[in-house]
Amino acid sequence: MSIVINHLSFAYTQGGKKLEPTLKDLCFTIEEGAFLGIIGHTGSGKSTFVKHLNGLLPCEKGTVIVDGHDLSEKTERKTVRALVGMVFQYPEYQLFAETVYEDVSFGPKNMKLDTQEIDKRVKQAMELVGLNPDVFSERSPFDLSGGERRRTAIAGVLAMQPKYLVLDEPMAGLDPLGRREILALLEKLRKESGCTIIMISHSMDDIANHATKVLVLEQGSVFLYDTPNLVFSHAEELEKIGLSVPSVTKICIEMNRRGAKIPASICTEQAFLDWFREGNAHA
Amino acid sequence: MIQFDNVTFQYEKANVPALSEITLKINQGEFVAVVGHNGSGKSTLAKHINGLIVPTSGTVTVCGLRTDNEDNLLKIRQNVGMAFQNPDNQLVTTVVEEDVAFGPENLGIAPDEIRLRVDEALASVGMSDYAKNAVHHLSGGQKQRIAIAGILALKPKILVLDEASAMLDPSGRTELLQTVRKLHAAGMTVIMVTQYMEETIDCDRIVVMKSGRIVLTGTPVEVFKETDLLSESNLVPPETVVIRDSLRKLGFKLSDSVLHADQLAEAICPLL
Repeated sequence: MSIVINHLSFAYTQGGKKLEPTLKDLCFTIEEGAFLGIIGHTGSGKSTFVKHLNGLLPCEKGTVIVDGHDLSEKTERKTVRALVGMVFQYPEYQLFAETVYEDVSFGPKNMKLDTQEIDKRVKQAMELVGLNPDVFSERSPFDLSGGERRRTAIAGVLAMQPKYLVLDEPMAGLDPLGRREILALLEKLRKESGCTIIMISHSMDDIANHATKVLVLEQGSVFLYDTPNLVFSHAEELEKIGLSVPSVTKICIEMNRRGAKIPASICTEQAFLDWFREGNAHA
Repeated sequence: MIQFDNVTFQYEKANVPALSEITLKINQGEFVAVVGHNGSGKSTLAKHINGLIVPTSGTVTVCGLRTDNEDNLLKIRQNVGMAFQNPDNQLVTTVVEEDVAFGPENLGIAPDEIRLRVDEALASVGMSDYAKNAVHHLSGGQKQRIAIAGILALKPKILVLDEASAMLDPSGRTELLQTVRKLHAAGMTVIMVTQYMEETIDCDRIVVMKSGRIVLTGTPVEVFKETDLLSESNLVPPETVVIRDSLRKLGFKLSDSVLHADQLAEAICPLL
């Protein structure tokens, strides 16, 4: 199964008039089990695009088909919303309940699951994000640290057991350890439950290290859609549209400028060190 | 220029102090970065510098004036400008030049002088062409530069940035950092609280905080060497430094002063 995006275009309306389109003729498929990283300059259409994946914005032109369910059909939206979970920017601002348990159980309750199933899912979700249910269930979300609040909000989405998890800059505002924890959680989810991850991020290092596919949006169009090593070998084009490249790519470019011959496709620390281990340099 | 003497601060209703026994001296013209995990007290420290917060015990002295004396506050705040995280919360008018003029107008400065200051301030953040533009049409990075221009129009000696880049995209962050570096080069004392270690590479000194205490201070070269202490503080050195250290483990001899991508390439290429 997969998410198929076919000729999707979208324009916001202001004062009864259509504005310049935010999305222009997007066509591609997100494979199940992928870790898709979405990058693009502010205003490139990233957030507008992901809002189409569970019908928060209507498909005006073109289609979005999630596991065979066409989102242009209003009746399909409910089915798709159970499949596609959304974590917005600064999701902890949306916490509202008096206890962590109550907040995390809000989604499954709305899905009309029985109490036992809800309890099981809430505890599972809390454990997944590293919040021990025995310790945190009865705590107020507002007494938690920033990182814990963020993880509580993510647990609320995970408790609905989505097949596709969409996250809009989930690491914004967290310290380096908090960032690593969220990334480790996403990797674990993908490996253990086969959940497809779709993540908007400004951190090219994180995208290079974790994504299996990268979507580059530029002024509402697909600029590149490929594996990280192929996307980041287009460093010059990316810089022209105001995007940066991973730290490793920057080092490789500087090395090649000085006459080295390190492949442009190397964009992770792992691949970089392997190149040295293969005997391309002598310590 | 700024002196923290054994400063402890506890928020009302909090069980533990947000700052414990902080002693820190910042010299005129220095560029100091303050880093630390979420909740380490770095923003609380920044808010002490212009007396937004006064110590529970200990003293903070800025330009020779103690912040716990209310009569000093106006004078201190004329010397210390502060920029905060959310650009939208710091702009008060709809047109760029009016926003920059807001501070000096409140001080009752003569109109000719205000004109002069606004033009100067906009020029120093590279936003002169936007003087007549609508504020809400600017990008996040541009808004932060306007917020800083508003501060510069008050002619402060010290600029404090409290995670001012946190909500910006990478190009906005670069814009802001270049502006701050330029101001520092022109003599401004800068204290920058940040979550991004790569932003600290070019400053004079880094202050590392953990649970309300200063655990390490030093130049970037000195601080990035302390990988164990950094990771105990929930921090990691910039990616380039991490890679440098991994290469060292493979046996490559690389100096501590290698911090930037071009420096690393320069050091490695002769070994290929």
